[in-house]
Order: sequence, then structure tokens, then C-alpha cells
Amino acid sequence: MTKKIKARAKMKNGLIEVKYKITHPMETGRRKDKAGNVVAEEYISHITILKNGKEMLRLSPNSTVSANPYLFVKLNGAKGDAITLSWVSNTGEKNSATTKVE
Amino acid sequence: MNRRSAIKVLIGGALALSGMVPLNALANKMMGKMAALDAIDAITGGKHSESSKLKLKTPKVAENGSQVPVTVDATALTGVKSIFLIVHENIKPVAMRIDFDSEEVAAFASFRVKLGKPTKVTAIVHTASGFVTASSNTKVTKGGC
Repeated sequence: MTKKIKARAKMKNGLIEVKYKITHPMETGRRKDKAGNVVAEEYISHITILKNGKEMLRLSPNSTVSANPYLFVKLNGAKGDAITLSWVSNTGEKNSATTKVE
Repeated sequence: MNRRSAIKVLIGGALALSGMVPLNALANKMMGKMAALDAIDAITGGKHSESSKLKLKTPKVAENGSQVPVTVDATALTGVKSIFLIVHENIKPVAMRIDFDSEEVAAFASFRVKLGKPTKVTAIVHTASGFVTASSNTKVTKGGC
């Protein structure tokens, strides 16, 4: 499964509103598949959000965050700023995406 | 010394020493299985107060426990360093930890969590002047954990 990052960053009331939807199963390690085998725990454990290369905030989700995590944050800035989100899973998998503020 | 105070001493002491907790093994330990009240004590060191300035928005009734929207709005507080979200009835109660590294970020976040069963949800905000909490209750018709 490809783990896409869908992002939208828009100026609203003087703040950048960033909305993310990350494709990720966020397995808790308790679910069983159709064959009855326990699906191993796999979740995004660290998320970092940068603005123009400068670290803004760090998130540590647990496996109890919903599958395909949705995230909505607000930060100061202006049109044209580059917002980067990068995540690391507990299995060491990584992905990142950069969006321009509209 | 009971279990809760032992955890408090272990983790709370380390928190006090380091001031702000880095994302290290210690913090990862908090993401494990433990009682929700232990987790709250571990994060706050047992010292926290409720405040109406902190707004935690959860649905009163969640039809689908695997996708429950949660909004934490701490913009009325000053000097916010981090936000924690505790789901009391989950086996792993600490659902999310957010660290703010810049003044440019609004102390606000919205995301979705899994709730196993009807539960109390608590947001803890670490500000410059201590820990502030807000709680709400959510009923779940179909659990998602």
C-alpha cells in the first residue's frame, strides 16, 4: 500500500491553516486478519512539521490514533511559505511532503 | 510505595530534571500500556489544575469508535510547550503528544483517535506556569480499538 500524504495549506484570518490526511493503517497490534493471525503493530510514531525548513512542531501519535490520520494545525506565516511534514513509523518507514501555502 | 507513586517518581522526576521531555525512550515508554491516571501523574508529576481556558472538543456520542474527531484549543493560554491527549479507557491511554517548538504555531490541533468504549478524554497542556487539564466524556456505540 502506498502511503500518501494529502496536504492543503491555506491562509485564513491571518494564520496558515494546514490540513493533512496521511494514508497509513495505524495497526494497534491487536487486530486479527481474515486468517486469524494477529496483525503486527505499525503506526506513525513521530511527525515533524517545518515551515521554510525551520522546525515548528513535533507530534508523537500512538497506535490509538485513527487509521489514515487526519491532522489540522495553525501557524503564523504568509502566502508562499513552504510547509513540510515528515513522518517516521515505529517500523522505521519514512515519508515526507512539502506544500506551498495558497 | 504503591505502583502509581513509583511511576511518578521515576518518570515525573526525570521530567522535572530535563524540564522539557525530549522524544526519547522515556517518552516512548509513556506511549505503552498503563492506567490512565498513572499516565496523567507521569506527565504532570501529580500537579495539575482544570481550566476553562483550555477547550477540548469531542463528540458526546461517537457512532464509529475508530474515527473520533478531537480538537484541543489552548490558544487562550500563554506559553504552551506541549499538549497530551489521554483516552482513559484505552489500553494505551496516551493517544497523542504534541510539542510546540516555535512561537509561530497556534496552540491548537485537531485529529482523530480510536476509542475502544465509552470513555473520559483528558487533554493536558504543559504551559510555562504548570499543567492545565480539561476533560470530556464520549459515548461510543461501536468500539474501534
